[in-house]
Amino acid sequence: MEIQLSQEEISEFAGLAGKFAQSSLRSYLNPEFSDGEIERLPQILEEARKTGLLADAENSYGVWGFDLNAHPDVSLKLLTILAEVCGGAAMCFHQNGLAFNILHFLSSPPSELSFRTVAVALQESHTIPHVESILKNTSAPVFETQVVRGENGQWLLRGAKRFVYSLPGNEAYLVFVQDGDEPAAALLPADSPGMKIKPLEPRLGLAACRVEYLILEDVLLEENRIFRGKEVGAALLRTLFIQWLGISAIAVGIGRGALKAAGKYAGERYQGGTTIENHPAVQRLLSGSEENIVSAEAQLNQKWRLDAMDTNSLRKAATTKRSVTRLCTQAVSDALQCFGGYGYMEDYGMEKRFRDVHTLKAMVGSPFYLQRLIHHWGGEA
Amino acid sequence: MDELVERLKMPNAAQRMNTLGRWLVDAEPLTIWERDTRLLSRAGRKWRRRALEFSRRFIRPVAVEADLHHHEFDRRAFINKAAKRGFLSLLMPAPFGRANLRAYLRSTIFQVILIAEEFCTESGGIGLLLLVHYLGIAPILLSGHFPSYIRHLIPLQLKSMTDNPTLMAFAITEPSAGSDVEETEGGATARLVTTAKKTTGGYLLNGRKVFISNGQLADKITVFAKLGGEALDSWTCFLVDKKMDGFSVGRQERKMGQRPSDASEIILEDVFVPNKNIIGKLRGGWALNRNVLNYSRPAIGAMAVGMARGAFEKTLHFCRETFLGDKRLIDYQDVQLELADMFTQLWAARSMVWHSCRTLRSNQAAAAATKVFATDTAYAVCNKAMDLMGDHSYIRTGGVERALRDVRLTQIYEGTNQINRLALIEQQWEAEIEGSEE
Repeated sequence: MEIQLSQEEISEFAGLAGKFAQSSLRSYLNPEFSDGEIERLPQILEEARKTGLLADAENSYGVWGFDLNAHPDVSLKLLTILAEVCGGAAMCFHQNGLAFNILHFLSSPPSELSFRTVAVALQESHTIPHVESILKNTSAPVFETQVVRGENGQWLLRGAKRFVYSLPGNEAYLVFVQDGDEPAAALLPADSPGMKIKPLEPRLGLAACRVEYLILEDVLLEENRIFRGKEVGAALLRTLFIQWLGISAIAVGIGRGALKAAGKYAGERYQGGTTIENHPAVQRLLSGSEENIVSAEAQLNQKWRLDAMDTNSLRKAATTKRSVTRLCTQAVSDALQCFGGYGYMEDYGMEKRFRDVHTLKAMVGSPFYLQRLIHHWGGEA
Repeated sequence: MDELVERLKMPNAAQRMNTLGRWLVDAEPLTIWERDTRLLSRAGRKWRRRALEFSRRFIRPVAVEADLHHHEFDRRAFINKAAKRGFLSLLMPAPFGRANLRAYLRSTIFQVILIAEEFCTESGGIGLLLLVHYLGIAPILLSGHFPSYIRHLIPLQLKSMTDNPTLMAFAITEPSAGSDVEETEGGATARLVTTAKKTTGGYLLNGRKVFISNGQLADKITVFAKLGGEALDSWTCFLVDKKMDGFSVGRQERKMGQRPSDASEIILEDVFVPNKNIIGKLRGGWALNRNVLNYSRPAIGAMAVGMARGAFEKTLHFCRETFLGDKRLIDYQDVQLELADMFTQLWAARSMVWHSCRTLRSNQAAAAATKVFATDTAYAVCNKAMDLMGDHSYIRTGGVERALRDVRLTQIYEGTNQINRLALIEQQWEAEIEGSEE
């Protein structure tokens, strides 16, 4: 049974995320490091786990925690609040929550799992998998990575996964694969023999969240860690849905953070005998930035449901990711411009927001590829 | 069907025309780069081809490392290579430089903007590293003071042929006056701290300049300072040698992009500058500074076009090499449309840069409009490149995200694009309004 939260409880959650962001995350953003003190991140995430914001097998109330399934808006709100301070850290909350939410969806209860951190391995190329066969109920393969029978009858995994977003020290991977005509999923410990993990460094932004390639060379699968059946297709769609909305929420948070910082700077910086907030050129930038963020928020703040995944809801999520990341990218760029040369330097944090939001736009389906999907999947009309 | 399509393609279809008709069809399979190059003067063609060759041979192999580990990049050795090939000497003809005189008399900066685009195609930061030198020289050239040409430019030119060329930089920005010193109204109220005080045989300079490109590396810097307690209209340009007592380099900024070139703070503490190092006239600095910007802004436009062209070329390569389903990306029509848009935007921006530079004197409105259009367009092209490359785009070794980071600075320096829009209005509006009412 899904748990319903009252408005007070939701506000309490938001307040908790706000406090955590301002106390722990802000201190992580040591200006000496362009992307924060990444070495301190595991400790901060541990703190978040104790606070209840980071969802895992034990904590079902954090970002995308399964007890929040009736309230996707709460997870989105928490991500936005965290991303106002650091997009990369918010991405860690998002990815871990996503993985445990999908695990719970596939095999309830996941609390029997011993892993504290899990990442979803979905992509095999620079764009998202062809999920038409699931939507249209055909048998066209979705993945190239396959489950095969070994000589001794055991199940083996063969292939490669790219652009896997994970936490530092990630312990397991939920890998989507092809099992004959059907998609399947397998939970692999990070130290599985035959699995090579290649970190993808360096990158433009979101440095707090790791990106990895997985090379799977006949990785032995334990029978109880393979998920088969219709639920896997549904889990795949759910993964994309949550992924796109979470990324959108993080983009909005980064945009909000950038706008606040620009507004503050504009009220303090003197130029031409007055603070620059009085200059029409800066006013135009600030209002343009705000307009884009408000539009993005309006798109994000819809009545989302995790329990009825179909073409239309997926299409709507893809449209939201496409539009929101574009709007927020422009918003952050405009906010950065208010700083002049200082916006380009690492000290003010604006260039980090710029890099982070551009990374969000490009990842898990850039606007160009999402446009193709949206068109391909057809509309409500 | 396929055969018919082949026959209908222009080169084949044109074979059915008469001789003159065939001749009037231009279906030669040439790159746009080659077509554009053929439009140039002999000197322009020469420098563009040389710069392309230099860029691919020397900049391309080091571009990634120079960005990632810029502190370890041997910038001096790189500058020497460029200087020996004449790439630091194109702002003046002989005996002050190596620009071709005939081409120069038609356009002062054309030869410079040609190499600017080529360098930045491989690395915006290395492009800046080499081109900032011209910004440092520009006040001397634009001062119109022939003795200064003899005194300062000839030694520069002679040294450029040696193993240790003199590198120049340009310093106007101050901690509390960035955009202020790049437009008229801001200038009137600018909070400037760098001052020059008269003393026997010269001036004592005190103050700070910030964000000075190549400030740490340059040997000499053209520094602008107000006289005593006077206002900005007393601004005077001084040629400051790094070896002068009281000169030091302070903080080096940590920039998002264009990292091979440093952006440093310059500290001046009772630096004695002899009278002979005054560039132009006393109190002539403000006009000189504004005019330097008129010549440098189109070059920024050319640099931005180069950075975006680099992103475009990498994306084109990616689209040829990458499959989506059973087809290469480039075989999809929507990908082709996107690439065509990028191509068109780049061509338009380059055309504007070239058009605005086809005069001996650089015009404020044309320079500002060019900088705004070219840099905004280049940013848009880089965004499209990121879009087409999806997740691959944000990997640092790929070069596309670097182009995005690099190009973003071109919308900020040499006056933000907002300031440049106002510069266009300032210069052009009265004439346009009067012209429209005639």
